[in-house]
Amino acid sequence: MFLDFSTLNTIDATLLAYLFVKAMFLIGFGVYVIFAFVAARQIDNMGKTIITPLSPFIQLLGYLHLLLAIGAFIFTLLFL
Amino acid sequence: MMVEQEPAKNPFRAFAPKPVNTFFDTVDSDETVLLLLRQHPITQVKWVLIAILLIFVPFLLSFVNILGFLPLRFHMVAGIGWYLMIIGFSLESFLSWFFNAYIITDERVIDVDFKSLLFKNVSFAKFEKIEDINFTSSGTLGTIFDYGTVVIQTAAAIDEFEFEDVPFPSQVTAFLNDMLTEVERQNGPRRNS
Repeated sequence: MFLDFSTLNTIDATLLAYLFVKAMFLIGFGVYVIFAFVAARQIDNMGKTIITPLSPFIQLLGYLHLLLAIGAFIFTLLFL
Repeated sequence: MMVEQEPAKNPFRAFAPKPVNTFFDTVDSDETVLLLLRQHPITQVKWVLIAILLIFVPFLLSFVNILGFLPLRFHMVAGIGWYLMIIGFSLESFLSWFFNAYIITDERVIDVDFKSLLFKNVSFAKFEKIEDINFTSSGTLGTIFDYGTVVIQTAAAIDEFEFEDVPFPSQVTAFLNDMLTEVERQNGPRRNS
């Protein structure tokens, strides 16, 4: 089976553009997941430096934010 | 003065005398937190307003139809990304305010700097090392809302502590002076070398 190069011409340029935009979104959300992870780690760290009644709640907020970022990445991967 | 005040139960307070259930990691067993300070809430209004304005940007862009060439599902993901960024911006701004705290205990002053997610610095100075305390309150907002910067000169490794934009700087300075007097009374006057 050889690749029929003539079929490549039929590939819609729009589809390539969509794939490019999807890749850009994925890179953006990937970077955001790293940011959210660093934020969650730093919140953990600061929560141990200054201990207030609010610390567990803020730590939870950090992890929820990380989950949201991962959710957005997966959503983009599957939905676009 | 501060000792007579009611303990602060609200963990969001920027001026919290004897904050309830509040400690720091290097606290000694017999050390008591007498005052916890953060920047005055009015100094945080700027990022709150920016975050609120950013919420409405997608609505404005929908009139220009800048993403019109993309299918609707791309618009949706772009919206999710935008609001996620606003959440990230707000979270980091809030954390910078909340964890950028100044603590006065019965033994020392502590400056916890949390400038960004990647930078943290904690400095301590015992009362014995404090040489001079002064404060500045400037600007219209500073005068109206009574906040300013308390500068503490020390003979410690960190020669200057700055409590930036804290509420009631004159009260904080007076309290620190009272503490210094108390320490001098207990230890005897310091010799300047």
